[in-house]
Amino acid sequence: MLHGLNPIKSVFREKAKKGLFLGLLVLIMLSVQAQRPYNVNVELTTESNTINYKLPGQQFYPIYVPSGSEFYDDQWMIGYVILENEDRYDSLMLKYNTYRDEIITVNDRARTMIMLDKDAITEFGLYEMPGVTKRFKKMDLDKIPKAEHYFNLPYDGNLKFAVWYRTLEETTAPFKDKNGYLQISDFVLRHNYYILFPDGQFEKFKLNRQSLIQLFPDHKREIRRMLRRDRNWVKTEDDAARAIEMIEKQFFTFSETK
Amino acid sequence: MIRRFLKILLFLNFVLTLQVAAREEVYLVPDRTNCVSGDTIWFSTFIFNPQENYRQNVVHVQLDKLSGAHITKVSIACNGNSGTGYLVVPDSLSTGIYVLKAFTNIQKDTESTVVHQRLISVYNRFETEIGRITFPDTEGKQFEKPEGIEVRSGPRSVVGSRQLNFDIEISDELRENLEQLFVIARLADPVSENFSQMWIDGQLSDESSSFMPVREQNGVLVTGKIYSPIDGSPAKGAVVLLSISDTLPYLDYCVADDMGRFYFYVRDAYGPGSLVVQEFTDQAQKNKIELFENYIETGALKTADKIFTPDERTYAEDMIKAAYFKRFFQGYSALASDSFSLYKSFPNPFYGPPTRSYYPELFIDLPNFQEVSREILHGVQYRERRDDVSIRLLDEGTQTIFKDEPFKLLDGIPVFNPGIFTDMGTTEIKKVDVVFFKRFYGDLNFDGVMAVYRHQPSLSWIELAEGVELFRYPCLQQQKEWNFRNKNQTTEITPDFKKVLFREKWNDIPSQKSISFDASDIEGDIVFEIIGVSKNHNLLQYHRVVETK
Repeated sequence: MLHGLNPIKSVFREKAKKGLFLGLLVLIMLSVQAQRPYNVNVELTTESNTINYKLPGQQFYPIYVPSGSEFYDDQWMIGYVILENEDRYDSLMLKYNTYRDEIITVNDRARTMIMLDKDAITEFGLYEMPGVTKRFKKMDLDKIPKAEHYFNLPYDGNLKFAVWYRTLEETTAPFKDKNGYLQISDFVLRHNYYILFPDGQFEKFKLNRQSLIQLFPDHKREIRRMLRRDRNWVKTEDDAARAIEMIEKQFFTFSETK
Repeated sequence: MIRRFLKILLFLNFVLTLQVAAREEVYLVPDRTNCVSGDTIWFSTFIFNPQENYRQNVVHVQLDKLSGAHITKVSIACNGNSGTGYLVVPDSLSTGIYVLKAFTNIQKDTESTVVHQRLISVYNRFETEIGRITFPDTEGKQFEKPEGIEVRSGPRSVVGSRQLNFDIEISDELRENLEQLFVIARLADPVSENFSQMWIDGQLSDESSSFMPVREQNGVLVTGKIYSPIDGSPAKGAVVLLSISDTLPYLDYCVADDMGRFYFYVRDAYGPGSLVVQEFTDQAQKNKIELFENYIETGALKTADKIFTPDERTYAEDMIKAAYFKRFFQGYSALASDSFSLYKSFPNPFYGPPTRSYYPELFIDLPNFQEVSREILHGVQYRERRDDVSIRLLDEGTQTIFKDEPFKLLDGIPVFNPGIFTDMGTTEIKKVDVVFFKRFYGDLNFDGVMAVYRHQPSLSWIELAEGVELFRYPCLQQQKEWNFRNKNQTTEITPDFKKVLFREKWNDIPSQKSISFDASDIEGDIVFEIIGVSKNHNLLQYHRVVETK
């Protein structure tokens, strides 16, 4: 028989010992983890190997958007990315962040959203539906805001029809968001339409016939007549692309710059 | 039944024909068939691939012994299907017949690949008497001699002049059929004239097979293996890093396969590069790393001993004497092939645009990295506790401190021991780039990046670092002017001992062209070798010995 030891106390002491041991183990584990020389979240396999230049980027942190969206499309879309050295990555899950003008991908192995380095990318495309690819090319805009932006090119000839999708945070009348907080901002996707001339100059226009014609002061009459015959009112992006193609064929076929 | 069997046979024959037709062929045309050790062999290559046409191709050219042992190798970047380059014959190479082989990496994956080998006789410049040589005892093939090429000797410009004039005439029918023409004029060597028109086919052996059969277009594939130093077992799944210290640091990684093999495709790198290869691990016990030599194996050629005739011996000894006098009069000028350059396709290094760049030299003198980090590197947390050093960076994405060590670079080379920075003060450090975000590079991710660049970058610390290997690896060869016309620039009392007198590549083929070059002081006949590449990818070989008086 054991003397001087209450069975309940004994069990409690055993539990305390186990707890202490576990606590120490956790502390040791933590200290070992803190000394790791680098971050390894996922065990890499040969599937990570490629002869392409590896996709560079940084972790993407979404912002809180009370109304609207910071993306061109909230859904992940399958697409491709072409790097500056012409390496191509296909079948990537992509989201075009039109608020920051950056392309976001998701890394399956690291299970993280990555904002790809803009200076490493020359072009990307989004497969909107079978057979329809929305192509975005990085170009240097010579107008304010002067910088490299991704432009969709519905028409890409000697003359280019470039659309810059830009999400702006606009002030609205106060409203309550889904969490019940009062908000005064709305994220709105704006479409900016440009013609890129062969000399590299961008000219902005609106989706109407008059605005487009104004960009060609020397050929106003001919272009007006041409669009009238084609019954093209330049109301949609497709209309504008068709009109610019016609203008190019009529007046800009001499240039070899492309 | 028999009919069905015949049909199957015919189909199989058709499939086999297609396979043979799809085979890539690489041909090599050296500008000489003999040389003295220390000489430079200039060559051109052609790739014929009936199915594919690439803008760029990389061809490897290796010099082997007749037994198949490897001596040296270069890799050249071709524009399209043809390229030019040079190979320096080692100074200590002994007298004998050697084999030149050209191949592409993609050929190593095809079992039926045939290597079209060329022979070259080398005379060791330190040998005084040559009487016997091991000669290949094998039959080679010769290409069709084109109809419609004529080489005529022209009149001497001035009596006693060294200048030789020749007229080359090419028929219109042939011109229409030709894509390129290589014109070479050289001294005729009685030894190598026996095989100067010969191409010896060699079958690629299994040992040559590439585990990564990619088309090298503007870079070289660096392959190797990683294994345990204890039992030599392959380190499957080990992450291997390749870095090149440069103005913009270069980094690539590869996960080793089941056999511990890894590969890197190093593009736009010219010259011999200092490649640093290491494992990306926190294990104390580092695995061993070695790189594979990128040679092909075609087996040994059958040989027989040959005794030199008096003419052959005289010529060989004259060559050696000429090499001695050439060095005596003109000195030795090796082609500058030691410089390394890496062309950049991206404006920023692999870690992207740095969040901040610090230039410590602009600040007050601080003796060590602890002081530098405390006073200058805001957002960099450097801690020394007894013998332990740790670095943590600010995460601007979450406005917290990262949990793990950042990815650290010293002069562009990854380092895993933060203690290496301890003694670095403001006088030693030129620049510190820091990235205060979680960075991704392919599937690797880092809790921020800290790149320290010194005023005087050096890789000497690698010798002391365990598990870090430094390899001097020959990348692509720098392009040099290939065309050459011998023009004796030296004074009359200085002799000219050139063995190759004319070498040009013509893309626009003329119907008639007059060429001239200066004669060598080594007496002998002149061989004209004209290699034509036809539009339907055939080689035509014109060979003529012109007697000189």
